[in-house]
Amino acid sequence: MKLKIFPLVCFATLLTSSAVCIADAGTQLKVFPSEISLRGQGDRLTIAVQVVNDQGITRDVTGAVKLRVADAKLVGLDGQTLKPMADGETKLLVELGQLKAEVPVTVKEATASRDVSFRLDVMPIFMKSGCNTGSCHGAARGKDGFHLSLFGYDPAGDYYKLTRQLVGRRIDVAVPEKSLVLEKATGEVDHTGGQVFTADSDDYRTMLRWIEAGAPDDKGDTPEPLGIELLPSKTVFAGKDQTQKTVVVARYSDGSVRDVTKLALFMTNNDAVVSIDKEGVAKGNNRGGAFVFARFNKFTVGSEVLVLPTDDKFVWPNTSETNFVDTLVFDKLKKLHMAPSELCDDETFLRRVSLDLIGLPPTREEYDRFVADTDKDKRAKLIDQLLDREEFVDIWSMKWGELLRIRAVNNQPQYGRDAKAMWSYAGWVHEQMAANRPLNEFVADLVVGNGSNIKQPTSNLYTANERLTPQKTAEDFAQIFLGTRIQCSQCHNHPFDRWTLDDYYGFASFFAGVNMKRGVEGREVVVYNNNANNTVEHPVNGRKMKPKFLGGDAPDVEGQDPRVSLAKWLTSPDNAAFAQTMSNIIWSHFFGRGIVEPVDDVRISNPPSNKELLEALGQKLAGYGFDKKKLIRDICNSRTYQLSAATNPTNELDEAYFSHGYVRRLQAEVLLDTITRITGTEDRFQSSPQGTRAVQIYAGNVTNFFLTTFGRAPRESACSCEVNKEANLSQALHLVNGDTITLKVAGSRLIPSLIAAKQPPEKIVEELYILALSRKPTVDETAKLVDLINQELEDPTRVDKLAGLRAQLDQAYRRLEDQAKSLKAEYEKLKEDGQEAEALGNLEKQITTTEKQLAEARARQAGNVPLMVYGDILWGLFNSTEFAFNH
Amino acid sequence: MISRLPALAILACLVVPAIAQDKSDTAKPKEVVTYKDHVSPILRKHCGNCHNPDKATSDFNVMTYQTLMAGGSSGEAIAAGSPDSSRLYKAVAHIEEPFMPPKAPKIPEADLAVIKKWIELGAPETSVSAAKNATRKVDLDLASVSTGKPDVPPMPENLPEVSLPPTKRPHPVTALAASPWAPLVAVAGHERVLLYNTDDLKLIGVLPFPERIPHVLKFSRDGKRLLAAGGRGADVGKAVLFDVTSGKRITEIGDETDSVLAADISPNQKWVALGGPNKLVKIFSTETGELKHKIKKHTDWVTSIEFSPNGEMLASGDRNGGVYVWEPETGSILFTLGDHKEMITDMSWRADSQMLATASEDGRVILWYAEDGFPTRSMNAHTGPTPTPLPRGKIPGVLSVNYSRSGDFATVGRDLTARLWNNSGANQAAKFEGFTDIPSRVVFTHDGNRLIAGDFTGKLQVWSVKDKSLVGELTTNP
Repeated sequence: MKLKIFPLVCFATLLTSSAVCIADAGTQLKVFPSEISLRGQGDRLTIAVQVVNDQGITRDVTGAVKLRVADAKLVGLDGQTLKPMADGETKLLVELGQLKAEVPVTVKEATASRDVSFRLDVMPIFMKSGCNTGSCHGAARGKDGFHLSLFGYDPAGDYYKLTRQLVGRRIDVAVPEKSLVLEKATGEVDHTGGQVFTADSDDYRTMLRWIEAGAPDDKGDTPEPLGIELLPSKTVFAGKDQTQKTVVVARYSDGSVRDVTKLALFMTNNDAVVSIDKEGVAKGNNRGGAFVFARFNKFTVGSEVLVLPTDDKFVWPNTSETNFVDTLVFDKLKKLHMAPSELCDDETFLRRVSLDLIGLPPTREEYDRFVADTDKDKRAKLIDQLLDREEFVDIWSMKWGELLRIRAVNNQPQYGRDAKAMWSYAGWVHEQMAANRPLNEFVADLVVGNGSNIKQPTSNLYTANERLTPQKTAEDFAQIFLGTRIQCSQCHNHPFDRWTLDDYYGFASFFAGVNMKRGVEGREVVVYNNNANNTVEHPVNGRKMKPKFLGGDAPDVEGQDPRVSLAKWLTSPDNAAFAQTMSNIIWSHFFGRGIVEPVDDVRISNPPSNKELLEALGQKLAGYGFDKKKLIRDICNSRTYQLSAATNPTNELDEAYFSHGYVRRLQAEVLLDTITRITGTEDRFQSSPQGTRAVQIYAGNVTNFFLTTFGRAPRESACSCEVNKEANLSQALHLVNGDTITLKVAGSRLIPSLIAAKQPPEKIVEELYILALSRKPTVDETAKLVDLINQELEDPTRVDKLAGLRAQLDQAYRRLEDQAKSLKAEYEKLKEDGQEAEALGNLEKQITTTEKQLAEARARQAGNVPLMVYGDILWGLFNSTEFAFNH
Repeated sequence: MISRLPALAILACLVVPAIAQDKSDTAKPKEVVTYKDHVSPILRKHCGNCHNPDKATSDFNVMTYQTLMAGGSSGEAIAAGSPDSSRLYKAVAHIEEPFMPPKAPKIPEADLAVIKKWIELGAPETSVSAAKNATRKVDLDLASVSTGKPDVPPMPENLPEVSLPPTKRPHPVTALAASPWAPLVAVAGHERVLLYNTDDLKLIGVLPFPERIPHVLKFSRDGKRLLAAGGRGADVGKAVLFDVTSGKRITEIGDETDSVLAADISPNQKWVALGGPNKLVKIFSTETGELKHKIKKHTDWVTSIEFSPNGEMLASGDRNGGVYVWEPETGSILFTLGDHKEMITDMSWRADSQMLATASEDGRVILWYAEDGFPTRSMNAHTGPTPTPLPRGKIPGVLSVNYSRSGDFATVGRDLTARLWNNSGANQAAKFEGFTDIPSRVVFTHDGNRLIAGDFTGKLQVWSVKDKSLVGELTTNP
């Protein structure tokens, strides 16, 4: 969003939460917050000021600006801190050289003093000082009997424990400074937790004042914070060791706005790029992008910080953009001073898109056709063709199978996961994918799933867990469809995200009535909803929680199945969380990494690497009526998707901004299918018909050694981490030595047919390269391999030796060899002993016969020697990184 | 003949210090830094919470000279004469890890200097070196102790004037005790014990308790002595025995590193039992202050202790709800009474030593039969509404229980009521309301005619038991 430049005009914009004034072309002075409201005698607010130049680089000028209040009777200034003096409205005038800015200031109740409040003033100290963290008094049993609710989810309980649980122990209302809580916190008396604050700190003074007032409880009308902001929301450092002061403002339910910088906790998600200290001053370290977060009450909020090198003389290359994906990705790259890589070549594109869209490498014909095609739209056409392939449906059926945990558990029919039900389930999913059912309708059907797990497959959404509980169902649901893990907030407010206990139990209530009962046949269960039961109990005080959408309203679902309402809310085009999660899952398939990564860990402290891109993808998907093919088309056609994996100096460290093609290991099933397809062999999988490819296996429990070793998802949990694409030693060893490659190469008709067709070595090598790597071998590769082949095949002794190796596979041959050996040994012995010529002669004859037999056997094998040599070359190709990775 | 020597000696004594002071810059006075006088308080303050005889982290106890010099599981801590070879000094001066005290700032430089100097001077125990632990003995005239009604009910007379200004706010009532034979009630205040006449409800006098907060007040069974125990959280705790008539401190028992939370004096006054956050029940000899038994059984803070009126049993309760009954003579266990699930807030023996009443935060009062430890009655004593909602299933806790001589008993609970129960606990004889904050302690007066209950605001209400009416109020902050 570019601001138009009006020289000599000053204006405050509420949209960006900063008051901006532009005097020079491009350079702006930004004051945070953009409007100041002071309320009550004790209220104080400290501002932060940034200068932003036309490159977007920011500088912290908080200490350098001149400040003046238009009406000094209303507001007093102490450095950069404002304090109320009299009621009214005025302006804060900020000046830095030629740059000016104005911030409106409202003062209310300037002379009214507010009593120290337990919830507003004391509880934040517990959080900021670390008192109520899990390693201290926030632990399940507290410390030495003093237990505070973790991160303060129960202020009423904390008040009771502090003041009245042990009368006369923790606070001293008669002589407040002698309170144990203060003496321990300052280290006056022994405290295992160490010194928490000093006696001259604000926190000490606040708590002392509260105890002096008699340690009163709040009267019940205490305003609650509704949200916080961490300002400035965007910082771009040029060079190392730059700092920026931040301000945290909290908005309360009574309309007041409070500077809570001194009460907030600060964190960063990448210390190597940006660090932030306890006072909220952010410091840039190494080049890159990161987020700093502030935490107050139950809110966590982040702001982006970029650190750019000062000496790179970056110039954006002249590069084209195909669609909105490129515009948004390149926007980000421009800000990061990263140039995107070049476009990948046709061969690379062909292989990449085939593996991604249909899970198979291109055949020789497909390769020749594509490479020879001169149509300038050939890539777009190829994408369209692949989207219509049957194998595309298989890939997405598999992906949904992983998300929905389609896994058969036999011998426990009461849990509803019998293989018969899973066949039904997998079959239904496949049908939907084949029909290209809009994702929202597909999901909506699942959400309201009822009935027999065999006859109404959608009911299987609810049979996934061993025990059907509202809590577990809610957790899985949120993780799959909203990409967010609410598990932490089952026991306390989520430490790094916005979810509270209330949110968790309100969401779980949607599933309070879902039940299972035995069906007609032994393996059948029936899922149904008890509409009368739609509340769950909150663990803190037993409140009955009614269904409430996660981050949304509470619908009226009395007497109905609340899942109907849930399905509507979830899959509505207005539900950005759902659309973005679906888009993110789709995106991560093509890049190996979601814009939020992992794709099921959306949380405030795990921000998207490109927020605008994620939002646009979500909107597009919703706009397409959730037709995933259309979004995939957009993605695959984008230049971003087609960038080469070769990096340049500006983007070689990038792992999150899609500046170049990411090298990603093939998923286990795709890898196996690729090897199988190239060798022309077949796999047999348990309980699956002949000809089933690995991506088509219906249930997670059906696997084999290869698939398990390469990280096939067992589908035991809803976690996206189940699909494991990490490399490890077992995998390497299996490729080198294991059955899979050995047997498939040995059993393949590919090489025999090439040899039978009397192809010259160069041609065979070329064919193998094209099949395995989708490219022709380089001149060097060809030369070396042909040399090697000729060495082996044109040297008779070598052929004989190799034939011998091959013949040794036969046990009979080995026995002959042993026989020959022992005969020879006997012969030598007899010779030494000086035996007669007759005996020796006999032996000689036997030896000769045996050796003749051996030679004949070898000659029979000689025809196989070329198979061995080319087989080894194919083995070499299969063991190369270039093969196992999509690049 | 009057020797001139003593006079001269006296003169010399008078003159020498003066000379020493005049010539202070030319003749340095001999430095004296001893464990007993200088180092012990420092070590106690900064190290005593962990390196005390009860906890003895790393087997290292700094509270006595012998154990300090003996060292702990890391070896000797003090190398006399050389601070730089002394592990203790290196730890507290942050020269070598582990830095002590852990997770806290370095102890003040002045204290470090004292320790350093002391080690340099050879780490002497006292200024008169190798003084033996003087065994102190207090004459309590135990032979004449009886538990029957005395001829003259012991009342305070001519208590010394005490100037303790009232605090800005009254301290909650943490302890309350009624004399068994006199119209006298002792109320814990902030760093003081207040003595009121229960007939006319007037303040008789104040006993200073500079140890900080008294958490326990117990009259001896003959009414002649008053035991006050408490202290300063995480720092110091002890029990003080006062003579009721004169108000003088007879003796002090115990040297704990945290406040004492439970205490009692045996009917024969031979023993004082203490308990607190160290989870131990310690039985001391009153006369010598010696530790007779250290009982390690409770799994949480010991929060209540009482000797049976016949002196044969000692009951103790903890913050987990565990109750044990001991034989005080031997320290051996008689009963384990495990029915309570939450903190034991108070206990009271019936006058005939046949029944023990325990009150707990789990909302129950349990009456245990002393012969066999059987819980004859378990009752939810306080079931009224509470000022703030309780978690589901929770019953308001009982904070205090007290038997009167007649066998009736009274309780106070978190539902802001005081209740009077008949002997068997089957019937509630009366309910008293009107508390604005939680009532924490309740006692009957010596004749059972009045009931006194103190609350969190520091106010005590006095009712007539017969007509159930409020007759007056007392305060912790007169």
